[in-house]
Amino acid sequence: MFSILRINTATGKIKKESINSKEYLLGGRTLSSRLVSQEIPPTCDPFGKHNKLFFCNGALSGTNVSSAHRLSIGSKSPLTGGIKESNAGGILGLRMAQQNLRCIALEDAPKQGSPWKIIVIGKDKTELIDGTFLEGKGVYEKSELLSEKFGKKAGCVTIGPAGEKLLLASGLACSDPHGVCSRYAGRGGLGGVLASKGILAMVILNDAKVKPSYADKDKFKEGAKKIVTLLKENPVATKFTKYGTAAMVDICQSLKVLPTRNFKHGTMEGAEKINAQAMYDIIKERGGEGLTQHACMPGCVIQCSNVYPGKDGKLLCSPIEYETMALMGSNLCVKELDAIATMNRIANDAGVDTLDCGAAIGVAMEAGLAEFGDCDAAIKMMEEIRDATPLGRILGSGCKTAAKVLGVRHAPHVLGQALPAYEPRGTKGMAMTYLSTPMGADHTFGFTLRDEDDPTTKEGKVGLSKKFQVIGSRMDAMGMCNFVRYSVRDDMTPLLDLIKARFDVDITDTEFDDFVKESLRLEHQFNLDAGITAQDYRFSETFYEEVQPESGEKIDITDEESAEARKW
Amino acid sequence: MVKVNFKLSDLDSVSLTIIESEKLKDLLERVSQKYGVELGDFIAIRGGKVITKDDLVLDNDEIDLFPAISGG
Repeated sequence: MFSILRINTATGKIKKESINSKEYLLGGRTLSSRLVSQEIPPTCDPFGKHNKLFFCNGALSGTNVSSAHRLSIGSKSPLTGGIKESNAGGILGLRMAQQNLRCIALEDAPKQGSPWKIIVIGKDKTELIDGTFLEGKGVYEKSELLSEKFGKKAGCVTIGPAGEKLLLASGLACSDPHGVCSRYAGRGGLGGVLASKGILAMVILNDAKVKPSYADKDKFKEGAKKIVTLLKENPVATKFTKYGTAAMVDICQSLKVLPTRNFKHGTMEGAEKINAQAMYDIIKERGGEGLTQHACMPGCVIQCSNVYPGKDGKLLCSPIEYETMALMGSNLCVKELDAIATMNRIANDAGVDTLDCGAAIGVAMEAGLAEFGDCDAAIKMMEEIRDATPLGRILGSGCKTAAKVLGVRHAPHVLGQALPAYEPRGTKGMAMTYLSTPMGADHTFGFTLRDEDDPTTKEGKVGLSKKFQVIGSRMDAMGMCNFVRYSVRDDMTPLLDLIKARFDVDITDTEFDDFVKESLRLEHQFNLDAGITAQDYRFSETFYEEVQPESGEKIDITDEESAEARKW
Repeated sequence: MVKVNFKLSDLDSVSLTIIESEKLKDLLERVSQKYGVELGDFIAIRGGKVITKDDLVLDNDEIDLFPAISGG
C-alpha cells in the first residue's frame, strides 16, 4: 500500500489515503501526471485554488539503489499554461520515503493576504505553522533558517522572492545532502504555484526511519549491486563523474548547436574559456570548498554535480550545469565562468530557473539593453530579477514575455518555456523534441543529439524523437535519475527486477513502456483541454525565416510533422 | 595517416596508418585494441560534420571523438 498525504492549504485539513496500484508503485512522473490529469481542471488559473501541487517520489526511493530518490512535481504551469512535470534531485524523495509517503498533495489556496505558512511533516503529525519570518528572504537565507529550526537533515522545499512575487520563471528549491536548498525543480513557474497557496516552505523532518520492506531482500541486494556495476562500467556514465554535464560545451560547439548571442548562432569564439576543462582546472586550482564531483543525493555513484568555488575557495555556486553555462554563458556571449557562477548564484537565491532567465537576458541584450558579452550588465540584470524591479519582473517572467515587452522577434521558446542549450536549427532531432513535448521546450524528454547521424536534416527525426521521448521518460516514470538511462537504455530488466524483488510485482518492459506512453497521452490531452493548440507548438517565426550562419539551416519542420511526434 | 582526437578523455590524440579507406568502426576497433581503451558510445566529427560508424575514413582525415553524453 502507498500513501498520499493531502494537505488543504486554505483550511489546514490533513488527510492521508492509502492506495494500492501500479501507478502508485511506480510513483514519479507516472503518478504525478496521472494525478494532474485526474484532479486539476485544465482551464483553471495556475495561481488559483483549483490548481494543485503533487510531490511524488519513485519506486525505489528509500532504498540503497544508486540515483533512485528523484522527486517529480506535477501541476499546471503558469509559464506554459499546460501540464508541468518538474523534477529535482536532493533528499526530499528519500525523506518522503522515510515517512512512508509516496505523494504529498497541496490543494486549495488561502485568501489573498493570509499570513505565510510552512508545512511541517513529521512521524507524529503534519501541521501548518507560521512562516512569516521567511518572507522576502533569499533562498540561501531561507535554507539556513530552515536548517536552524528543523535540523540540517530535514528535507525542505522552498521558494525565493521571485516565487513570492509569482514570477513565471520561479522554481522550487529542494534540499541537497548538506542542508542547502540548491537542487532545483526549476522549470515551469512552480515556485509561484507554491506561493499562491500561501506556503513559503515544506519541511519533511528527519524523525522517522521507515525502513523499506522487500519481497526478496537477497535478490534486491544483488540487483542494487548490479546497478552500481552497470553505472561504473558504462564509459559514458563515468564521463559525468569527471566533468559533469559541462562536457557538453565542447560537444555542442563542435556540432554547431551551442546557443550563442540569443540563439542566433551555434558556435562562440572563445567557448574553451567556459568549457568543462576550464571549469575542472579552476575548481582544482582554487581548492577550498570546490569539488569536481559531487552527489546530489545520498548513494549516487554517478556524482555528476560539482561545487564551484570563488577566488577565495569558498562555495560560490553548486552546481553549475551545462544548460546554465550555455544560457547564461554563450547565449549572452559571456566568456567568464566566474560571471556565470555569480549569475547562477543570484538565480538560486532569487529562486528562478537559470534557463528561462538566461534566455530572457539574451532577449534583453538583443533589444539593446546591454551589449552581448558584458558580464557586469548580465549580473546586474539578474540582480534586478532578484530585487523584482520592473525590469526584473519582466525578465523573471521568461523570454516570451520579455520579447513581447522589449520588441524582439527572435524569442527562443516553445509554449513560453525557454529553449534548452541546443540551438534547434543545428539539430533537427532536438527541434522535433522541443516541438513535441507536452512541457514546453525541454531537452530531457527526448534527447536525440547523440544519436543523430545527421543533425541538420529533419528526415527520420519524428521517429527518433519519439523513441527518445520514451527512453528519456522511463527514468522519470519511476523516480530514477535520467543519467541512469545510459546503463539500461537497451534493457530495463535490471530496474524491473528490482521492482519485483521489492514489491513482488511483475512489470514487463512492454507494460512499463505502456505506462510511459499513457503518461504522454494524458499530458498531451491535458494541454489540449487547457486550450493549447497545434499552432502553439512552434518556434518564433524567425527560426523558420533566418538561417543559422554556421550550419546554414533554418527550421523546416512542419506542423504536421511535429503533430506526428506528439501522437501516442 | 588518420588522426583521432579523443576529447574529454585521458587519451589525447592518436595517429594510425590506413592503406585504403576504412569504416570508422573498424578504425576505432583497431584503436581500442592497440591502446586498450573502451570507447563506449561516441559522437564522431570530421570537418565540422557528424560521421557515423559506417562512414568511410580516408587518409589524412582528422576526427574528433566525443563521449556521447547529454546535458541535464
